[in-house]
Amino acid sequence: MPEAIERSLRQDCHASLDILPGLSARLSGHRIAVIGGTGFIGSWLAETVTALNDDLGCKVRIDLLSRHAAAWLAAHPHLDREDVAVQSVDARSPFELARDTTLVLFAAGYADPRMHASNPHQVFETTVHGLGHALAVASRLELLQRFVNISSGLVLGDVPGDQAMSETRIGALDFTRFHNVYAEARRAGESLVAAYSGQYRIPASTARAFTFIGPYQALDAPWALNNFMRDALSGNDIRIHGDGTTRRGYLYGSDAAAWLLKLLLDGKDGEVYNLGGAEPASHSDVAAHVAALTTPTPRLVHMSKPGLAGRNHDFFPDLQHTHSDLGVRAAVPVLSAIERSMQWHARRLGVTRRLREDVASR
Amino acid sequence: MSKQILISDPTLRDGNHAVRHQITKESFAAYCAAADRAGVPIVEVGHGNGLGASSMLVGECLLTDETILRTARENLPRSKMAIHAIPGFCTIQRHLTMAVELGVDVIRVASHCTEADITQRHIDFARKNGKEVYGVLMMSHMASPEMLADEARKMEAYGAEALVIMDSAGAYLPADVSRRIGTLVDALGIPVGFHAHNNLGMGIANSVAAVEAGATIIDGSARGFGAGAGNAQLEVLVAVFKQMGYETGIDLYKMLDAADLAEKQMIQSMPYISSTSIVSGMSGVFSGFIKQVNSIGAEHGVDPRDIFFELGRRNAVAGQESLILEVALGLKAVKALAGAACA
Amino acid sequence: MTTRKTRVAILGTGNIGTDLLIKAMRSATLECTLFVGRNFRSDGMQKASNLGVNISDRGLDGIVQQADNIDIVFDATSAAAHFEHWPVLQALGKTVIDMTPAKIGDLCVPAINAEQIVASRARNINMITCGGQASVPIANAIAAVQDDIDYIEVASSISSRSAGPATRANLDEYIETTEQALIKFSGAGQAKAILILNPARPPIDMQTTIYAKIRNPDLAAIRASVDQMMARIIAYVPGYQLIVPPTIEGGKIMTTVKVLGNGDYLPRYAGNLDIINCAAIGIAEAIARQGKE
Repeated sequence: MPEAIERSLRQDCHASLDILPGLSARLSGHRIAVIGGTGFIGSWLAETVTALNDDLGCKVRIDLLSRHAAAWLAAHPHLDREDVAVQSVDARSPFELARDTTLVLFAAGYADPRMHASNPHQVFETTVHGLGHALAVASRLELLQRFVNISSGLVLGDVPGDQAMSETRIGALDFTRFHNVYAEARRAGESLVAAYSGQYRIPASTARAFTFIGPYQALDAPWALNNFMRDALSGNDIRIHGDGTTRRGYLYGSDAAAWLLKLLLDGKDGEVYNLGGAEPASHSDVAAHVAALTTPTPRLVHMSKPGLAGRNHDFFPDLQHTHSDLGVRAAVPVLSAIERSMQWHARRLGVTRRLREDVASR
Repeated sequence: MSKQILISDPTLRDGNHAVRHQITKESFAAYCAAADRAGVPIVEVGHGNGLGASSMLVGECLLTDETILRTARENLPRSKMAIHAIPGFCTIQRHLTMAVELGVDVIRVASHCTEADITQRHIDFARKNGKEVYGVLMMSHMASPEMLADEARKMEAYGAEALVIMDSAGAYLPADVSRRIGTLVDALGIPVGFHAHNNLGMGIANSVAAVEAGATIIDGSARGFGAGAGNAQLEVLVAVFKQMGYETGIDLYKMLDAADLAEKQMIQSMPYISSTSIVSGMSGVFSGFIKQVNSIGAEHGVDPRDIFFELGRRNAVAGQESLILEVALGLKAVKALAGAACA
Repeated sequence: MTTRKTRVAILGTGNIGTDLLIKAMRSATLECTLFVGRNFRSDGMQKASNLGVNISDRGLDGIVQQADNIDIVFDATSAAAHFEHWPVLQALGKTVIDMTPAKIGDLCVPAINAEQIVASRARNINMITCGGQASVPIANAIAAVQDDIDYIEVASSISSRSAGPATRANLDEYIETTEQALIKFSGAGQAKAILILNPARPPIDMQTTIYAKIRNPDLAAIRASVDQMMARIIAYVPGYQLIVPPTIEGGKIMTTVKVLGNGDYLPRYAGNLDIINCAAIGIAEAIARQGKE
């Protein structure tokens, strides 16, 4: 990875860490295991660990467990280091963790709706059975201080979307349709964590992820923002489906990682914490930002009619509980996050010429 | 709307802690008779740690459980007789069976506030034998309100007919009680109760807060006779609830008489908030440790207050009396090292 | 004379059974020829499979089918299940080491009666309880030099996390079995066992305090006897420690031991589970050694 990007990511990590002074000292000596560790979260945690160790005098280790261990290392050789250990593991079978592991994060799963459509069985297995194996091995760790399950805001099911979603407003979910397998499996996962806590006394907390943004996210995963960026970087018009008013809250990768580290240390047993961006941005606004970063500036084209009866599909979290219990805040604003993502993807695709010149050179 | 409070009186159980479980047969008989006359609905009797707890670990009882139950039963013609029972100390075969045979009415099965699943079989036994059974969560300040609710729901699922949380260390302030009782009242379909200790002078206030948050069962002891700084003072509770317009079914004058009798008959020193009580309340350590902490502290020349804060730091729970000596010896060694370093 | 290792089957693939497996695989005299339960998906089963151990999900039938390849069976299921297993295993002529509180067979504390158990060729050997393995040998050591023990009491505290559903549902059996063993091996007039679950974090190590009411205690003799017994216990429970030597406290003898588990499959704070497994392996190895002579 080109040095400039490496430096930028490192800077981002520090921006997020600066909001949590003292985190470095408190993490020293810990060993973190991330199951499903080569995805967006695992990658950002690895970046953050390198920032902590190289620049803040921390001594923290991270183990990333994943089926894609070898491929990930090959793609990110700058993360091939002693403090970032990668292990090839399929969470659907039992696995072992290093005995001195103190913090465990379950981050495995398939958020990609194409996977839900084509292979819902594997989605369920990985999410629920994988979590079961993670809980089982964690319960035998002598030094375990906290287990954090990364769940999804989608577990809330059918709630009116026009306001920030708090952790406690739980709606109905039609679990008979396989397209809902991801949300249903995450619900089952949260239930499994509660059962383990109630029966085996594991110190466990849950993080409910909303929408993430940043490098290390696959551009072809079909979320609105990704689609806009892909359209732009392909030299096409940016197509917006619906009327563009749908809102999302976006949390940048380095912030997500910093928040999760804080949660691993200070989360309370049995608590659920929203993990996402509080200031919602509409698809139209976000598309406009993407367009503004691109040269030549693509057109914004609205496809298809607005939804029936004005049905609202907003999806963004209420962060009151997270802020008050964990004292975390987002350091990287959405605009910067979009810019960084564009730079990352442009470099990977070899299309930096499509970035506005000043953006390309930052 | 009838505002009724069910008073459960552990004078002859919690009070046993205050006298190292040496309440005499005459005292059991006399106080039971007086409480019965006063219309106290439930009278709890036994060793401070409940049925089957007489041991070297937590103190040997002057009387056998059998003697206590027989004596109490003879002197409680109308009031219900209750026992406190902690699985791990008390077994079904040796202890509960006998209690049932001797006419116990209410079995209060208790566990540490995070360990409710050890009570399943004891609660089940009580229900099968047609006895009223309460679930009791001890040291309840050691769990969050939500976790308390989860543990309480286990007991409810096992068949408990009421749920009492104990402030065993006397650590709560009224707002803590309101929040916890409120959470439990929302979560459970069974009545909720509260058992106060007075380490921070909050026995009455906390009991009032509990009732205002929806508790309908309140524990109180005559003159507050109980472990450590004592419980909520029963006759004061009766008076206060009367002033607040609640019905307890207890005759005020006869309750005052019963308290006077308790004072004369068996209370060697009136409960008061000692310095160590304040410290144990602040550190959240079980009040019942006080006598042993004081005596071990004296024996080994270690400040009992330091022992308490260290026990609190180590999350000591009732039944870990053996830890007191270990902590004292540890602190003594540290002191000796410090002394040697200065010399 | 055969150099073949004694062949053991482990019935029950939960945490206890899996920990036994790891210990058996390390043994110079034992070989696990069958690891059997009822569910191939259990973590223990899959661990065993990864280790190349022969597994079966047929439960007791699995043992019956492979009986020719098994000498000793560890039953790590439950007391209720053991009552069903025993007649079948007895008919097969197998030696059974019962990890449950069923108490059908001879109570065994290797430090006290390994030799007698082996010599008697007992077929059903009961390992009492975790608290029993920790405390009964000490009670026995005291009784060796004091013949007037009125009362012995054992109070164990274990971490809440090491007490699984089986422990929690069987507190009474634990107490009754431990008390029975205490009386048998110390001759005390009465015994009382107490078990406390401690929810402290980090999880505490298993700790057991033994109290004895003795009319004329000879402290020096007691200490010497306990020291000797300690050496015998440590031979098969390396993590066994005396943390408060016998002391006269308030007119009674008290002493405290701690067990730090080996951490084979279970975390080291679960010394309570480790000690009963160590004892089971200990007696199995004693039987194995005798078979070689």
